[in-house]
Amino acid sequence: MSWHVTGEALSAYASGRIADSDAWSVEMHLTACERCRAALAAEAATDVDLSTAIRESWPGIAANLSSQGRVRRGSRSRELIVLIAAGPAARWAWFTAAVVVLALAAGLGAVTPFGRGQEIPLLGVVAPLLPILGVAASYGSGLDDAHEVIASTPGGGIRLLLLRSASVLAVTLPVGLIAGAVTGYGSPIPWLAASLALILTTLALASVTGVGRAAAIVGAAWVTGLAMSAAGDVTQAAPALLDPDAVPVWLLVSVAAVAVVALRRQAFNYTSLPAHPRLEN
Amino acid sequence: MNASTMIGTHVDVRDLVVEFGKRTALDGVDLQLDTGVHGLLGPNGAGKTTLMRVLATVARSTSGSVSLLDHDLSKQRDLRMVRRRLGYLPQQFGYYPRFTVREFVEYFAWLKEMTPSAVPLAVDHAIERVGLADRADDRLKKLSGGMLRRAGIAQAIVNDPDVLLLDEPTAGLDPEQRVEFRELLRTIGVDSCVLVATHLVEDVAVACTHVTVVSDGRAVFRGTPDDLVAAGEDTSDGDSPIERGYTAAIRAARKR
Amino acid sequence: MEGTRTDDELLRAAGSGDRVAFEEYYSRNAAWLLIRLRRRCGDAELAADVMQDTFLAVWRAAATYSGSGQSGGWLWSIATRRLIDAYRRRAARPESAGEASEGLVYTSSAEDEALASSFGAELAVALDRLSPELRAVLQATVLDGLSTREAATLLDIPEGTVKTRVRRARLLLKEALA
Ligand SMILES: Nc1ncnc2c1ncn2[C@@H]1O[C@H](COP(=O)(O)OP(=O)(O)OP(=O)(O)O)[C@@H](O)[C@H]1O
Ligand SMILES: [Mg+2]
Ligand SMILES: [Zn+2]
Repeated sequence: MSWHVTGEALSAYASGRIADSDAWSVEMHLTACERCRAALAAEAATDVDLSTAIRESWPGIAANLSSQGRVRRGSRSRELIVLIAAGPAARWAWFTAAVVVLALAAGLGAVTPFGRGQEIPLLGVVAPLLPILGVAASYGSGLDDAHEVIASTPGGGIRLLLLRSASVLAVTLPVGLIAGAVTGYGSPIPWLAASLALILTTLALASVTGVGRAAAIVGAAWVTGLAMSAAGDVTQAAPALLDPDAVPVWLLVSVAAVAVVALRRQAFNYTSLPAHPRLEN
Repeated sequence: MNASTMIGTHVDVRDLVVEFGKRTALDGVDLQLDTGVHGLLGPNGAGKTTLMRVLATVARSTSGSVSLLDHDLSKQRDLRMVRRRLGYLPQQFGYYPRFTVREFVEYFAWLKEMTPSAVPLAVDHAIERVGLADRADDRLKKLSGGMLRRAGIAQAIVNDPDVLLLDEPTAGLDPEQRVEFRELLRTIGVDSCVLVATHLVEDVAVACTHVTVVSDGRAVFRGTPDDLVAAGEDTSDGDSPIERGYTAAIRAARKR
Repeated sequence: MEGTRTDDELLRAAGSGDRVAFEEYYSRNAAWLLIRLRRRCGDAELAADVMQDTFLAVWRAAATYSGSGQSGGWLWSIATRRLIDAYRRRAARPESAGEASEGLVYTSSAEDEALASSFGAELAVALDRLSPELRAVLQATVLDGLSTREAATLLDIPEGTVKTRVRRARLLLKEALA
């Protein structure tokens, strides 16, 4: 900084004998300039009134310097962490569920009863379900104790829902991919596409029924659909829903669901539930 | 109602009706509120919580118009702006037991879309104002009922709201805390609109600048606490002058 | 005391519990903060109280300061919140209603001299020509960065008045500089 407040101006400011416009420019500069702040401190030390006030204020401060606690900086990344991790009481429930179920599917190479003699890993059936269960658990208002207050905030509507859905996908999909690679279960593309379509359909349906119910409906539909498609065609290695040919259909469904969510986004602005039934005590 | 109506009203409710199936919870309520602390009194089931929830933009009205801070709530585009300037403590207030007080308040600071750099200071300030500074890093499940409610109040005021809605905020507070809480309310009411639903008539007498009494979904009395006292001069039911006024207001409404 | 550490460094150290660093930070920054607060509220005792509150908040929040070279603005923003709080508390006490406006409108003394202006001379003249009321409103909203509501609380005038005065002050300045 090349310009600094003159000593004359500093002492005029310290004593209060200064025009407003000058005081303003001094203050603007002091806010930005450490050197002049220190110079003013030296100036104030020569003023009895100011130096007394400053000296006498310190003990009151020093006596109250308790330990500072776990304070955190405010940043966009901190915001993301808080909003994503702050699900219901069981913060990491969905995460653990994903890991445990997929580990089971991978480790045991478990097969579903859908295949009628063919080996269809449980993974293909379960993996697409996980994201919707995760979303339901982390957002479904019936499960979130603080939903009543959340619903009154600007960030509590569709933004939070999408954020949490994305975070659930971001965790479960890689886990699913790894498990798939371990079990040697064909191409992951079909069930990835199915996953995406299911979660988006859940969100679209949630604009009408609420998240919890939407997840239940879509989940049930998925299992039923799988069972029916497997029963219908015994010659196929995988049920039609997980067939590579189904991928374009899933993508179409996804696009349609996105359109529904976009059109009905205002439905996420209100809670569909009465005030929370659980009484605190 | 008071002199400062020139800026526009903080809360403007006209002919508000809220129905739950066949039951009418609010039946044509009119309410205009400005800065100050406004008490909302009424018997169980009168519709206080229903009114609070509509004002908190959580529940929708069946008919009538509601505007907050000069924004019509039926306009979805304004909703977000209004919500940034709202504070709400529900009657049945859910929380995350594993969160610390600080995390809990911070969570709502983010949900209220505050500027990142302002969040830590606002959180600290809010916790300090409710007197929980020394418990800031305790998990909520370790707090007493009254402290929990104060954490709820901290959450509501973290964004320095223009409209603050508190539904039964003094439930569970000890007498000393209640005194401090009233002081806090008066402080906030200097330049915000505070609406407090309560059963504790003495809270209203001490902390409020205005009172509204609701009964069976209707606003049956509006005025200052002194007006309410005056309304009870001919009654003997109730332990304090203001309680008598409250009883008289409800009785008069039922007779009509 | 000529420290070798910058204010930023002192704050970071204070943020991890270093009381010595915090005391040094105090000794460097108490003066300008106190003077500025006194100019805003015209009440030496209140200014000292607000300063204490401010430094306590700074101690607790020091670890969250993430700027570089912006600690002055950061400190002042904490101080203004506390000052407004103090005004609210004062206004909330029924017995002292109305007292708040005293000493608030800063009046420049007779010994005004153009000493330090880093603004253009014309702007300085134009600012000094504004009425004290208009200047106070400009000071609160522009220099101190307060919202309309906060300025209204601090100056004890309705929000609408703050808005009209800011508008008028801007207009006058524009005319003067045209
Ligand atoms: N979600 C809901 N579904 C159906 N009825 C409801 C619902 N919420 C409230 N009601 C009914 O609306 C009426 C008003 O209820 P409200 O909770 O607003 O009363 P209140 O004044 O807050 O009572 P209290 O003093 O007990 O808290 C009651 O008859 C209640 O049963
Ligand atoms: Mg209620
Ligand atoms: Zn300088």
